[in-house]
Amino acid sequence: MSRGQVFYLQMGCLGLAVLLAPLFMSNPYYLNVLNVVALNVIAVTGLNLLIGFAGAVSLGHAAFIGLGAYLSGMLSSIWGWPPLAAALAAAVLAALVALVIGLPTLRLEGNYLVMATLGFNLIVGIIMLQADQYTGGPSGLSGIEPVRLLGMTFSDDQSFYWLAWAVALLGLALARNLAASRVGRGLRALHDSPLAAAAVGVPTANYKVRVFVLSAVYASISGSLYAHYFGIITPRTFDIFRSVELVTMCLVGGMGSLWGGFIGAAFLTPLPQALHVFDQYKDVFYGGLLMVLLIREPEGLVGAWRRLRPRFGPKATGRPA
Amino acid sequence: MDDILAVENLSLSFGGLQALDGVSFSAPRGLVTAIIGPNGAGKTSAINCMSGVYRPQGGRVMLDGRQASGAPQHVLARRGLTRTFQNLQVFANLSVLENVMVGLHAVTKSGFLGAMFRLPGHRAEERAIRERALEMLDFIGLAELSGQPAGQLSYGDRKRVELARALVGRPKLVLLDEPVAGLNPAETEEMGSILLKVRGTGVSLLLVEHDMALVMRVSDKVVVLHFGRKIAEGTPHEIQNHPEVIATYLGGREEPINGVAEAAHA
Repeated sequence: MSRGQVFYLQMGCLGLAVLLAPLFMSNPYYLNVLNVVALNVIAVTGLNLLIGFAGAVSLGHAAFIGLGAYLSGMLSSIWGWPPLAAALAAAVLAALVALVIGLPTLRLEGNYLVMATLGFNLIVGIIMLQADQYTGGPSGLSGIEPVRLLGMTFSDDQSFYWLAWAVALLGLALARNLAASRVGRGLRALHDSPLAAAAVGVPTANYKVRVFVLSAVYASISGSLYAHYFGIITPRTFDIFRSVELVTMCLVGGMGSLWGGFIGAAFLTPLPQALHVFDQYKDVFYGGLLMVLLIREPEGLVGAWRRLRPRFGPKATGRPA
Repeated sequence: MDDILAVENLSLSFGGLQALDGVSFSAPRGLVTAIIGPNGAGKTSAINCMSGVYRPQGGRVMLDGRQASGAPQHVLARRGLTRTFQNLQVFANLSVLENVMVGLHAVTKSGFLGAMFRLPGHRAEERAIRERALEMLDFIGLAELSGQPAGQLSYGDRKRVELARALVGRPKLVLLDEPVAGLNPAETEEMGSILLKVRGTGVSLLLVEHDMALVMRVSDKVVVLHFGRKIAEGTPHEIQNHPEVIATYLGGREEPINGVAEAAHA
């Protein structure tokens, strides 16, 4: 089997799991958690293209999620745009903002993008708090319309589940197509050696800017869906800690593997809830678990799986997407 | 004479150090040109000026009759100039086949959207890329290692991956920065044969090399640099008997230059 076939087989299994999962959900709260997992998968998939493939780190992706959420929310609730058109407009604006940040910083050697995006996240947070006639300030923006499409309204946990996971699977498939292409190889090449990549014709700065813009669009779409799902958004949801959390999901899952981003999001999103049994010590357990994991498995959960798999079955022949 | 590359009065300095001082030479089309010289002579600086890594402070580089100095590396790659590196720069996390496939970047086109949505043109191009890369691996003798991560290969095989990556796009000119440095005698012999085979396909080569036996074997023309200046230019035979070259290499003793390489390899 070629790598492409393996990937689509894995996608098929995941699609089937997504279809069947609601049958086993007795408690609607679990569905809600799965919806948040899907939204995180969308954002982390985009971020993973940037971190794992192009080797640049953004610590401001929560701000792009926030841009998507607030712009989409404001356009639909204040100016009455249809939610999907609002989400599209928000994605375009997030792309433009990413272009403005990426153009000067990604041309430089070294990780200036980290600092620029960190500052950007803080600025966006301040605007969300201060521009309260539009954003609602600290108490947030409420009354955001749900997404409507083909006569269906995606407002409750069950219907939104289908929408969120359809977008998440589509996002994964598109990212995988990119990763397996000429462009994806060029990105991985510039991650390994920018000098040699340029020597074979990869426009390194241009590619890094483009992949950063693409990752901002993924984040924006995730944010827009979030806003139309919950109907209310507050600035704290999109603060710097959320950005760190997204990077952590990439790391824990396994950088440079799209399944790694997926697994990181699926593992870390429900983890805080699962650790509630430890009550006031839950943060200690959360942090401790991350530390042990990243020290023991620097290549993340996907790296651990690749290392352990030969013990259980035939040896892998290729490198999965 | 028809030149693929002409270097005119090239100057480059790092602070107070004059790496290149008014160097001029040319590389004839379809032939092998070698730049030799002691350590610090400015050979790698010259290659970096020609390939767009450095921008020379004076003079210019002409590639196939058009100015090349000042253009970024990836643009020069599209104009048919590729290179290998003295300190190996294989893409360690990519497979051998993928390394060579990346070598076709300059001569292929599909972009982000075409790749994400697998548009028809993109798919045909991907097939062509894979086929060309596999042919190249056959040519260079790496077909059996195609699935291996390039970072796990032996030093000699990594050198060949770099060469395959530089050649696969059928460039006009390939710059080779010390193609046999670090190779054992058998590997050096084989690399020499590969270079002659490449010359036979009509690709022009320009190499920087310390191994005089290899230089004399494969080169049609030799340029000698010393402290950033050109001291001689000519056929291998002319260079071997050039008094200033002999003086530079041997500190004045009158001995043919072949002996240097043998002494260095002893």
